[in-house]
Amino acid sequence: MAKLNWICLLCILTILLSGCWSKRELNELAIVVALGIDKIDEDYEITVQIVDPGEISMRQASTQRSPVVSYHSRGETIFEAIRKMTTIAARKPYFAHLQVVVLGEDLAEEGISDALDLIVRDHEFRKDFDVIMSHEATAKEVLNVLTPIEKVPANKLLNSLDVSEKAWGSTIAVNIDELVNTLSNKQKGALISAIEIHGDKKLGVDQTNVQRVKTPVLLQYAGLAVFKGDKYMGLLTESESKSISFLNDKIQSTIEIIACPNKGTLSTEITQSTTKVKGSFKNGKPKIDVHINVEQNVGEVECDIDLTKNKSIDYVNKKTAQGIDERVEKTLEKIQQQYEVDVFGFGDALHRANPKQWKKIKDEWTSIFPDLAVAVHVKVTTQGLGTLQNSLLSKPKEE
Amino acid sequence: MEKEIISSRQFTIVTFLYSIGTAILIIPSSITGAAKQDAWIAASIGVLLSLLLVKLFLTLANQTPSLNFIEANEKILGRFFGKITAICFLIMTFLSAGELLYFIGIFMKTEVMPETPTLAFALLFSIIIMYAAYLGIETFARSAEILFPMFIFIFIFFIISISPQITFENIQPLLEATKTSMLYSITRFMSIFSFPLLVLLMLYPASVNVQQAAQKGLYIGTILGGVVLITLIVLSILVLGPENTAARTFPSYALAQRISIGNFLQRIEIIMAFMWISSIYIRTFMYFYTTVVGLAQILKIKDHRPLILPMGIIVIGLSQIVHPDIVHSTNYNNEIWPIFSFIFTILLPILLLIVAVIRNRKSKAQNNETPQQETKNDNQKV
Amino acid sequence: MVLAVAFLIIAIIVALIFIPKLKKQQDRKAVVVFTILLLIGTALNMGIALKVHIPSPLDLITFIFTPIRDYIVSFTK
Repeated sequence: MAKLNWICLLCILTILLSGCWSKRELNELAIVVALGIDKIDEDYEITVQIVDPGEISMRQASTQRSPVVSYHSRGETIFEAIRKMTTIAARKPYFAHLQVVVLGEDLAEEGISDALDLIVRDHEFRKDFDVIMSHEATAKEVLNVLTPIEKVPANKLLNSLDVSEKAWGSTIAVNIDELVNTLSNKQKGALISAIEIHGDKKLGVDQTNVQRVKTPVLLQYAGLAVFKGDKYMGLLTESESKSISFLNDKIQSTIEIIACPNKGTLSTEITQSTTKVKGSFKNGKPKIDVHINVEQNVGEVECDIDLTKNKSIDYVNKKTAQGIDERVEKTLEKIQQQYEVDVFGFGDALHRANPKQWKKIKDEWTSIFPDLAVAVHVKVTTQGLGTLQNSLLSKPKEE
Repeated sequence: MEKEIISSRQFTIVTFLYSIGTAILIIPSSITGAAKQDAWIAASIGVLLSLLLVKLFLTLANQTPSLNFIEANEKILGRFFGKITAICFLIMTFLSAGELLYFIGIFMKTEVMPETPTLAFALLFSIIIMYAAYLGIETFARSAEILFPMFIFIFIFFIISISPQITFENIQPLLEATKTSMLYSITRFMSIFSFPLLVLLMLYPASVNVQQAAQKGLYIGTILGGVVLITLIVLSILVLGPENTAARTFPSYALAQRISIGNFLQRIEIIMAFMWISSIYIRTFMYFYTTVVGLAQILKIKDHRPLILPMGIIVIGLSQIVHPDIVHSTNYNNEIWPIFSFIFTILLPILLLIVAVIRNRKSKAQNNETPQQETKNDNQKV
Repeated sequence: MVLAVAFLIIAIIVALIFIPKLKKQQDRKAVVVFTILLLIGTALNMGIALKVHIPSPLDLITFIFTPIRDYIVSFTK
């Protein structure tokens, strides 16, 4: 009797567990790795970059087909455009493996909040992808460029963004969740890394782009784009973007170049940088103190400075601090005067410091921000010199 | 039907998982909406106040040892009024069982399988509940004992995996919320966390073997459940931020989606969902079991088991009509449920307690008179 | 439509299995209650399957308690 029960139970379980209601087999999925959104007239144009699994696979011989395919479609809303894409694509797009979203410059100038609602609301879009903006190109063109080494261009976009954030500092990898948080915070401005196409755009789409030693068309990150509200305001230069990374505590490693006391330059490699932003209110007026603490090593010596002397190290520290300070203050000025957007979260720092006072000035923050007093304090310590003490090539003068 | 007994450890585990219930899924969103980044303070205060509630429930239960809550109603308030209050209480638990069945359906539908009708989930889940009710409390308590270590293990894993993503600034500034918003938050928190603990009086004291240990068990279970919820709320605020937590329908699920260790251990949120399904199962079972057993006891039917099947069928139907959409559910849980549950889980026990105490005093007074008369007679005889 | 008929069939099967069992136990009350509950449940589920609009009992509760809620909220304003 017990055995009969077991058998019945197993039979029932097999019926109940062996299938889902809304199952999708793997060969019904078109795995989208990158999504590009452009605005053309009043419609949205969507570009999806879909992986061709056979081409990526290690085992099968690679034919001449491209590793990724891109489809475009237009619609009044993004959701419509995506569903319309099924008229072109062989399978229904599956967005759970999305790596990067590229927003076109024209869309960014009009406002990105509307475009992002679907991405945040739909359950298929996970929240682990980054958002970038295309500069002087449409998202469509960016996603049509084949990249060397990385078969899937979306991976290149993502990796390059990450690595340059860690090693150079002129880009910031902005996760969609972070972006939405910033956009919903009315007192803060958003920053998105911008990507450009170098070379003839028409050549990038060809497989021949990656068949040469020197790739004619490359995708390069150009700096940070400043957003006021959800509209694109302007692009910052590389050094300004680096300063912004300093202020946002996003620098992990980068280099600084300083001038030697005699002619020549010296480059230092920054190994650790922490930035603390403190807000305070003095007589009801808001004030921000930024403390940047930098640890570095000497990286490249192109002059005849004598590094074995203590005062040389002091000089290096001082000069680097000066350099960072100058650039940071110049960038601050530009952001405050020209763009008038709080991209650093100074408002949040003031909120954390003194909520009551903050409540009073919260609504006028956009008009207070340009005149906000920001004091920048940079402290630099040099730890090491690399594996050489004094440069073998530029010998210091005998003193 | 013989009396079923569960041990005090099983009782503690059931209390723990029961108090977490659906709170783990919906509480972070509703209380962060009101109290913003101080939601965890509201939750902590709520847990402390819940201990007072537990004291109230225990005092009431001790007035009628060996009777569960439904029988106590009739004993204390008399046959007519007791039946009425018991029926109202059962309406509350019955509707709650339907609500929870709806809830598991909508959770699965929103986050995991949006094209599946909620009826499918309700059907599958209710089969489990009905079979558990058929097998009785002892089996149920054992199943809770089995689920407990898995729950704890997944919970600890969850906390450890999500901790690297904490940004402490998200919880500052402290104590910014106004008193009104704190009051709302605390009330909503307690209405889902601790008011329903009254239903556990169906188990205690009638079915527990060691009274003292079970009392401690009720306290410990409540505190542990509170700790889990507070931890989850704190983590939600620290990792997602207060606005994001308040905006999401299921913040804990969004939190679990964030787990990414070494770019390798990712997309495991469905394993976290195991936690939530377990706690919802415990709570749904308690509501359903209470309704069935209570109905049988009010109508003086000896065996409650035949009633399980038709009640289960009604509950499935109930789950489909009880909320037409999630907005209705959120509004109901935020606005109406605190008041509705307050009346039947706070005012009713207080009423019962007062009446019971008065009755006990009266009967003590009567008992005091009769022995004195007897001793007088004895003295006279001698 | 198919779903409604399925519910009906299930209800009939349940009734056929359980009612004789209960009748043997001589508990008239149980049989009556069982039948009533089964009828309610089947009617409810068939209504849902046939997409009949059945109002939620929670709406009744909401209706009863909204004045109380407004009264309490007016204290905290």
